Amino acid sequence: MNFRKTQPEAADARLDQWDESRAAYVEAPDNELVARTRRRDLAAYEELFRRHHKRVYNIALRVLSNEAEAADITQDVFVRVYDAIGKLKSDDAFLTWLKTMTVNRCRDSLRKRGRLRIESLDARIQQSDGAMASIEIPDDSNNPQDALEKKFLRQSVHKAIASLSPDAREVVTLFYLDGADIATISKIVGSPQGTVKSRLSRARNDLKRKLRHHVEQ
Amino acid sequence: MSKCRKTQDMLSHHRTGLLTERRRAEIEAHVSECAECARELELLDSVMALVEDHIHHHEPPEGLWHGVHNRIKDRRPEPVAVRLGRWIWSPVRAAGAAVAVLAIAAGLYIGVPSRQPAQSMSAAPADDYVRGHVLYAGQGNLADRTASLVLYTASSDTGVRNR
Repeated sequence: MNFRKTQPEAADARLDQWDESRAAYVEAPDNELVARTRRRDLAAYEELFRRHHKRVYNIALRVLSNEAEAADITQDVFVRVYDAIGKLKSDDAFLTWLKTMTVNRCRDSLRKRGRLRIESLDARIQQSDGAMASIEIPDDSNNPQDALEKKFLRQSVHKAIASLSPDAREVVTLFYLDGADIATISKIVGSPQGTVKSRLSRARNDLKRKLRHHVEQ
Repeated sequence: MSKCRKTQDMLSHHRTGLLTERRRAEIEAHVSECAECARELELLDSVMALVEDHIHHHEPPEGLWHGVHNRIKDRRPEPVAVRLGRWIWSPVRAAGAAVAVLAIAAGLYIGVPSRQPAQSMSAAPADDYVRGHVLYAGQGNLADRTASLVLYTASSDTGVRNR
């Protein structure tokens, strides 16, 4: 990926006068925290982790359907990013870079499992202890029947996404769960925009086929 | 391809911002006239709304940061020799080093003068060399060697012819 080299002098000056209180880290934008991390400020990196680890974990969980692997990959990605942060040419590109690392680590993991070309994964999530379980859906409704119905629909959506091919799962996860646009997804997965569009289109057709009975009732 | 088929192929791109304005207008014009395509579009919209409403984030396990922090902190700085070794043995540098070694070896091979004449001289019988030295040493610096070579060449030619 070709990142532009931008390191505004004003940002450097601001970093020199950095107030190292907790509030300064919480309020700082990502690019300032990235610049602090370059200077090996672990508190700044902890704040970046706090902001983005959930995103990394969820991409890994959707692509791999395995809680333990998703947790391992989340940690591994953040260690690697810290090690290689000096190579990041633009502090503003941090998030795209983080997601690219996540997708690449998920692919390595799938390759090791020999599942990269298998069309679908088990729709259930493998828990840390190896047991297979349905995903835990938080109950956010006061009405038990509504809550049950919502839980059922979430499980159905999860199963439908888990049954897609790994390529399609990556694209659907980044588009619908992460809210990334096509150009960003193209950078993250390292494929041309046309390829991403056709994967997304195929995935939408697959999801329509798998979930239509829920909306036709 | 019928217009319905073409429209339904494009429907999966609809409302994703992936279609050109012209394509989107074509689809919407067709859908307003065709009940079957309108039903397909409604179905797709409903399914994607279902996905968007029900895809959700899972909470990661507690304590992930501690693992990251410990792995970063526990790592010791690598010794200079290890870093230098890795620098040298990166694939590109290793290939460059191999090319340089080959180039030097080729240069040495080409640059070294051939030993063939010396071998010829040493192969000349000793009595021919002594005879040449006695006859020609007084005539110049290399006259005896030249004469010896001439004598040896002449005797070799005779040997070949006699064989």
